[in-house]
Amino acid sequence: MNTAAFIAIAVLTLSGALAAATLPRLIHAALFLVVAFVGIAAFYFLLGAEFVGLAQIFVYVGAVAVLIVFTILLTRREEEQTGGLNWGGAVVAVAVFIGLLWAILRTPAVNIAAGPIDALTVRRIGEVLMTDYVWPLQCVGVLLTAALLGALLLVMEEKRP
Amino acid sequence: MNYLQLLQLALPEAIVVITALAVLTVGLTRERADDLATGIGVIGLVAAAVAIGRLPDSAFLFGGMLVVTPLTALFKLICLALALFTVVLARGSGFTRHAAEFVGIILLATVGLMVLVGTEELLMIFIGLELTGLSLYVMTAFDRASRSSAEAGVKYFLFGSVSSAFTLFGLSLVYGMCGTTGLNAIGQKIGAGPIEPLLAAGIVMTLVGLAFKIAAAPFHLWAPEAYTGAPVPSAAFIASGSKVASFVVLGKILLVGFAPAEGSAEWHRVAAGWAPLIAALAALSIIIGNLAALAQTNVRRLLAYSAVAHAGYTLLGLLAGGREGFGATLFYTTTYAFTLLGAFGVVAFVRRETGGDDFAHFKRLRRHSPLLAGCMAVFMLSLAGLPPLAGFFGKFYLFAAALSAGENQGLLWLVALAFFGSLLSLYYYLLVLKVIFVDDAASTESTYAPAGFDPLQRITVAVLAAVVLGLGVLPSALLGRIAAALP
Repeated sequence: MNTAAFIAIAVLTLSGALAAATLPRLIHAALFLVVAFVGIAAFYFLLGAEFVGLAQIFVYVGAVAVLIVFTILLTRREEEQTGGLNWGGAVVAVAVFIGLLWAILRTPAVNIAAGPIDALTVRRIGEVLMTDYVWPLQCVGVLLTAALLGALLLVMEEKRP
Repeated sequence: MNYLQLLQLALPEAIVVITALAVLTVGLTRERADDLATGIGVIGLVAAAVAIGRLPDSAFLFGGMLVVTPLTALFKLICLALALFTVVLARGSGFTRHAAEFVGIILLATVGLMVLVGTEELLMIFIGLELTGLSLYVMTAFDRASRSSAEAGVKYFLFGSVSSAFTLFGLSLVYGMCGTTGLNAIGQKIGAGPIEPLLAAGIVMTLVGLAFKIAAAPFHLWAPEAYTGAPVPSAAFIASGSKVASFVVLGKILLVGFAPAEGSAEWHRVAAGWAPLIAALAALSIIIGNLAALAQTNVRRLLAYSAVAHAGYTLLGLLAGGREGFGATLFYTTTYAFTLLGAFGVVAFVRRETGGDDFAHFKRLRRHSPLLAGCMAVFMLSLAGLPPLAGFFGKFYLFAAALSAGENQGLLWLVALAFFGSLLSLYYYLLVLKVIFVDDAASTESTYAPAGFDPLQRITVAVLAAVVLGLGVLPSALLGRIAAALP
C-alpha cells in the first residue's frame, strides 16, 4: 500500500517538477510547480508529518504559488521567448543527480530503519518553539522583518527632488 | 534557561535590532532624516559594543545556538566596528532619498553577522547567513536610479540564493547522517566511524555554498558585478563585514564540525577529505583572482578580483588548521576587512567628486586631497603585503602557519603559489598608485566638484589607515587577543 502510494506520489511530483523546468510558457510552468508542491506535501502526509504537510500546502500551494502567478500576470509585458534547453545546466543537474544517487546507494546507514517516534502534535511543536528553539524563532522574526523591509524599499517609487 | 538569561546574553543583538527599528521610525516620520539616522545608528552600535563588554566570559545556550566566548565577543566587536565605519561613510552619499532605511538595513545585516559569529550550530548558521544575505542583496540594489545597481542586485541575489540552497541541502544531509545540528556533537559523530559517501556529499555541498559567500574561485562570478554595480557603501560592507563573518563560520565548521574528515592536501600524500577541496579552491582563487585583476582598468573591479585572490590566501590558514592556522586566518581576514573598507572609502570620495571610479578618475586625487591619496597608498601597499603594514604580517603569519603544519612542509606548493600571486599583485596595486601619484601632472582638465566628504568622513578614512598601519607596527595588539581567545 505504502509502496504504491510512494510510487504514485513520486511520479506526480517528478513530472510536475520536470514540466515546471521545461515548459516554455511561464504561467504553465508556475502551475506545474504547484503540482510539484502538492506532491511534496503528500510525501509529508505519507511520512506521518501532518503538520509539516499542512504548512507546505498553506504556505507553498496557498501563498507562494499565488504570489508567483500574480507576479507573472502583473509584470508580463511582451510574449515570453521560448528559450531552448540550457545544455550546461542540464549537464550539471545530471552530474549532481548521479553523484547523489551514487552516494545514497553506497551509504549503508540509509538502509537502517528509523526507530519509532512519538506522534508530533502541534502543541509539542509550539512548546519546543518557545523553549529550546526560541532564539532561532526570534532571529527568523528579524530575518522576515529585513525581507519585508527590503521588498518594500525595492518596489517603492523613488521620488526625485 | 529562562528568558531573562537569554535577554542578557543576546543584549548586543537586541540593542542593534532596536536601533534599526528606531532608525526606521525616524525615516518614516521625518523628511530629511539623514543626519539623525546616522547619529542614532552610531549611538546604537556603540551601545551594543558596551553591552558586549558586559557579557559573561563564557556561556553555551541551546546546544550551541548562542555561544558567548572571548572569541565571539571579539568578533562581534569587529563586526560592530565595520558597521560603524560603513554607516559613517554612507552619510550624504546622495544615491537614495531613503538614507534612514539604508542605515536600518546596514544594522539588520550587522545583526546577521553577529548571529553568525556567535553560534556553533547549523540551524543558526543558516539563519545568520540568510539574514546577512537578504540585507546585502537589498543594499546592492539600493540605488534605484542606476541600472547597474539593479543588475548587480539581481545577479548577487540569484547567485546568493542558489548558494544558500546548496548550503541548506548540504547541512540537511549532514544533519541526517549525524542526527544532530551542534558542531561539537557533529565532530564527535564524524570522528567515531568511517565517513560515509552521503556525509561526504553533504560536506562538499556545504563547502560549495560557503565558497560562494567568500567569493572563492570558481564561485566568484557575482563578486565583480556586485562590487562594481552596488552603491559604494554597500560594496564596502559586502567586502568587509560579510567576509569576516563568513570566514569565522567557515573556520568553525571545518575545524570544529568537520575536523575528523580533514584528509590531507599535502604534496605526494593527498588524502580524501575537505582539505584537498579547500586547497583546490585556494589555488584556483589565487591564480584566477590575480590574473584577472591584472587586466582591470576600474578600481572597484580590480578590488573585486583581488578579493578573490585574498580569499585564496586566507584559506591557507584553515588548511594549516589548529590554533595557529585559525588564528592567522582570523587576523588576516580582519586586517583585510579594515583595509578594504578604507579603500572603498577613498573610492566613495573620488566617485562623489568625479562621478566614476575608473583609473582616469583617480588622476587628480593627490592634488585634491593629499590626505586621502596618502591613505590610499597605505591601503594598496598593505593589500600588496609590504612591510610594515598590516597586510605584510597577515600574509607572513598565514604562510608561516601553512609551512609549519604537518611534516616535510607538505603545503609548500600552495605557499609558493600564494607567494608568486602576491608578487604579481604588487604590480596592479602599484598601477593604482602610479595613476594617483605619477599621472597627476599629465591631466589638466579639472572635473572635481567640491561636493565631497565632510571632515568626519575624512577622519574616518584616516583612522582606518592608522589602524592598518598600527596593526602592521604592533600586530600583537590584535593577534594576541585572537590567540588568547582561541580555545
